[in-house]
Amino acid sequence: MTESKRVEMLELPRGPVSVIIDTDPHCETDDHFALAYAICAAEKGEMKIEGFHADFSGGPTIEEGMKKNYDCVINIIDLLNLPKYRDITFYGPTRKFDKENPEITDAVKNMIRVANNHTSEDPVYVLGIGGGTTIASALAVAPEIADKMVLVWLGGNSLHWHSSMECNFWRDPAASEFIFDSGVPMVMIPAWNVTIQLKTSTFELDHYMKERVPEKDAVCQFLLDRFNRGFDPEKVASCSGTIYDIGAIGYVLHPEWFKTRLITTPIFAYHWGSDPYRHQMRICDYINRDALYMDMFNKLTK
Amino acid sequence: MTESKRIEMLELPKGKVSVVLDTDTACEVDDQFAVAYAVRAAEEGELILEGLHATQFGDNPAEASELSYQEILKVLDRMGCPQYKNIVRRGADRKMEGEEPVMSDAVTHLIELAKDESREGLLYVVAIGAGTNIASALKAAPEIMEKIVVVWLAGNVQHWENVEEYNINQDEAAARYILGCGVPLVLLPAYNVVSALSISIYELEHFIDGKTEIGSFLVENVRQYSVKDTRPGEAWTKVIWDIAGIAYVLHPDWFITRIVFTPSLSEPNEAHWEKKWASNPQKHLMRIGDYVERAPVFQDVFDKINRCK
Repeated sequence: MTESKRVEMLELPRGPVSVIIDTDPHCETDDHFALAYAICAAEKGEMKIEGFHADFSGGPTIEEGMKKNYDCVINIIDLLNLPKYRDITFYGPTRKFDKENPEITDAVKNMIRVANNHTSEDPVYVLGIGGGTTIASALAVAPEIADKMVLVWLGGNSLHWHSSMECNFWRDPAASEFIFDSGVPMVMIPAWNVTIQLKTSTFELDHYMKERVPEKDAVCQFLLDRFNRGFDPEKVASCSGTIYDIGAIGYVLHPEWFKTRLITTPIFAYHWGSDPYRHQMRICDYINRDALYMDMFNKLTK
Repeated sequence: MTESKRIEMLELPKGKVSVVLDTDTACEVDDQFAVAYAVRAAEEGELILEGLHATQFGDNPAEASELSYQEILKVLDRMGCPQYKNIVRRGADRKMEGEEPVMSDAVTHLIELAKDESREGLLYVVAIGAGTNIASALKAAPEIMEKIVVVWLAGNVQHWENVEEYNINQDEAAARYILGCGVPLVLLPAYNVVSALSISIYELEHFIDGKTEIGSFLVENVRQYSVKDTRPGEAWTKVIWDIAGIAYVLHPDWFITRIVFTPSLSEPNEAHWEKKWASNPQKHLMRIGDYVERAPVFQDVFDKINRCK
């Protein structure tokens, strides 16, 4: 891919775009919000979802963890009573990434199939809110999809941070390294010190999500209960939390809420390695929290 | 000052430190939190509060400075802590603009405090407004820089597109002086660092409304402010910026900071009207904040406010 092609594909998305969501909801609350937000946005015609791919966190084995994540996606789909999305939900990895012998899972097959139906002018946005195993495997099996997709990956830390250590990028470090080297057009939305500021509290969620249309009652109640696990009215840390993953959904819906810039892709390692001769990527520096949350509240409740 | 001496002074604050809080208290609604937090920390023996200095802001600096002075007194009354009124001082009645310091009671007081030989440790000047008083004191008595550390909430992180930040803009000449003079400086950038201290009215209400007079007063201020500040399509939150400076001297462990070369401010011109950070790797060092952990800061502020009688 030429640098000009890559940079062209990294222009801000102009919706409605097609997306695939690669997710690991079992361990954390934020994926559930992101999934529900994405489905509600799709139902309003603001994006088209072409796949949910289960990543593998949550154990005890990679396969069991992946299946738990799959079940979590199905749960959100069922709570919204939209069975058509079941048909595009796929199993991901049963082992970690091996670039010599990548695992060809249902998720990998779907990613390749969907990407091949897109073009560099109309790419599919792969929203990574988990680790990189499926994404790296698809790129290893079918390198030609790199110019038909844009990866929006939520993870890692800002480049002035002391390390890249963050769970999505370090779930499968070989996959991360492969992706950073692959040249696939990539938008990185770092955890520290960017999505970490997507904070909310029990009280804010209650205020905005209390009133909702009947067909979204079940999913809203599930999300609130999930957020309020461990609630302690005396403790700020127990009443507040970070819904990191809605950052990736929000970026393709409303990139104007995201402060981003092009940089030279760093070398993936515990300490980011810089090489000013590498290809370009886009990095996010800041998100308008208040606008993103209001959009999510509107979509989840109306 | 030698670089090693400066770095030594920039070590993280340890234990019960002496503090002057320099505040544009009548601006927005977050300074009142900082004043209350500082006074409560003093009451609970976690710091020694030696001065509460008002400073100017806005288009009518004399009036704004006086309003800030009155606002400090109001907060002390609401807290039932009138004994702190004797450390409150009026500050600058105009911006520094040119070369001359803007003298005021606050500046005289800051110089006196800094020169007080009876104090063993350093004096932390926590500045949460324009730099006018601090730059003026440093100009009038440059020797005090050996005795003070300025913890200033100002500017944005160095990879930000500009330094069009409120406290810098309220007195650009003062800002340039503080960044240039070599005083040991801890810079806590607004974006994208202290901006983490955002909070919804609903969370504030839960934790401190209706429990103490000062708590209800602080929440009501934010509520009033939200009316004019809320934009359509946003789930409004308020950043309580100013508590960060006090939190730093109490609990530097809640922050991630590092030593960097002190940047300069670019000189805007017609083509580049925004001020930018200009890097200068030959300049003296300072400490910059990269991160503040939100939950413990708010927890400490709320707990202290709720312990107010």
